[in-house]
Amino acid sequence: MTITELFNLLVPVYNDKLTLSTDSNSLIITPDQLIALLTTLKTHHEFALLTLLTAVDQPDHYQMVYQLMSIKSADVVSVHVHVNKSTLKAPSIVSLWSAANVQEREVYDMFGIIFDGHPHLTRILNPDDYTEFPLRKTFILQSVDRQRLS
Amino acid sequence: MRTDQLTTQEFSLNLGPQHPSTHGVYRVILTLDGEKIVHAENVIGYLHRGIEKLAETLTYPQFAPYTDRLDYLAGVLNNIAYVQTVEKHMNLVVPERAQYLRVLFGELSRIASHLVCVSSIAIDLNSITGWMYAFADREKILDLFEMTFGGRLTTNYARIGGVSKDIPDTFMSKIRSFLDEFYGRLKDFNTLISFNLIFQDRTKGVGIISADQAIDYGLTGANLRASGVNFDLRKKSPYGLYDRFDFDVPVLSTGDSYDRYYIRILEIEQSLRIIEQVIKSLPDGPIMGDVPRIIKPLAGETFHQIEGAKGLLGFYLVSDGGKTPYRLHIHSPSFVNIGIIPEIAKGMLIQDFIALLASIDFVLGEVDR
Repeated sequence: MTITELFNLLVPVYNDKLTLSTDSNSLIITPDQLIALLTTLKTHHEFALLTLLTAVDQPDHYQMVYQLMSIKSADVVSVHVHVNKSTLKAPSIVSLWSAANVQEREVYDMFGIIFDGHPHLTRILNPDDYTEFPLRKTFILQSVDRQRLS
Repeated sequence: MRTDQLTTQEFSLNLGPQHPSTHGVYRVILTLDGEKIVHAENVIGYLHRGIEKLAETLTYPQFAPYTDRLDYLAGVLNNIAYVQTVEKHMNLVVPERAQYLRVLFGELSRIASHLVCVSSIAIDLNSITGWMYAFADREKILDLFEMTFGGRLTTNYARIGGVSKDIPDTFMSKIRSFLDEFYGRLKDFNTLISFNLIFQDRTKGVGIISADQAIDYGLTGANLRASGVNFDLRKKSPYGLYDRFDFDVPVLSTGDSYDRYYIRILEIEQSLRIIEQVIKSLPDGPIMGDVPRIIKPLAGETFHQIEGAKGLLGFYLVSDGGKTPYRLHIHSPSFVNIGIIPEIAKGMLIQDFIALLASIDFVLGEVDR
């Protein structure tokens, strides 16, 4: 099933909350309907495996990217959620996949997005006392004053 | 004094980051009741180099060598995953010979990586002979790498549009003698490790991961197949030339440490089958396709996954049409796979926990990125 077919199947349920991305490769859903959509995809459409969870710093929002895969056919579906840059809130999907636990922590660590309902949202790759969110575009790579480090 | 009147106290034990059984700089904080694990918490990030951020400052060809430093036990597979992502995004055509060479060195890489898994599970369970055997054979594979493209761990073999070097004239005789010897060595691994009663006692029934648990925690690769799920991307959704080769996907059912060990031996046998077919049918021709001098992919996003040595290895590329990626995310199998360790560790003994760690087969370069 292509993404467009899947979209046509699902759009009566979610109405204007579900849209298709401009390249027709991904579904875009509003944050409040994310859990419902992913639950449907997981239980009714055999997309059992979570194969991607990350974020992209777009100019006017953070874009959460999820990709699910079917174990039977290796079909994939990609789901996007736009996260507001001022509230930084997204729903956690740890209740659906335990695999999301570490990956949401990584997104929090790198982008500062807060996942509602995550059991243990702390930094994972960066030090605990780190204050920056390095994968944001506002974070510029530059050399650090060596004196300050020692 | 009766034993039920004794008071006991839980205590914490740091395993790693500098500990030989943690395969790098992996640290886990164990809360113990005697020798039993009550709670385990992963602490990672000691090897974090910010590769995803660095990618945003480097051109597409410049980034390729950085991928070797992810899973440094199977560098060629990382190279292939990355360049295939860019090729998929730009619709580039790769010459047939280059594709065959990618399969050849990719499978050799997979064998080398599985041999490290086999040898490290052996040495972690005190079988030093087993470690010596597997490492000696891995060395010969690295020699084949070295004679072809110079690198042993940091391979940088695949290029966007092809591969960097063709095989030298003496390669075919070298790989033939390696293969002929290696079939005998596989039998030695089985008699030394697989069918060794002490080894079986230490690993059978230890750290059982059910199929549902494995899927819930996003396990992929050999760890998933050891739990009874038949899922190999080379078969399910063939990329490159994998649909041309004849091989089976080994699946075991128990999901314990022994199965996770033994499935790697079975996968090595299948990789050898693929290598034999590549050697027989390697076509002549160029090794680099037509690639623009300056690589500027059109704006858009691509996600490409391959069956890496540790599981599904994916690169998520977002381009804004410029010379450097706008965003490059590496979905690394080891990072996801170790997420299940705290769950499985509950109630285990420390000795069994070491067997679990070794059988999950993770590499920290890929976990921390």
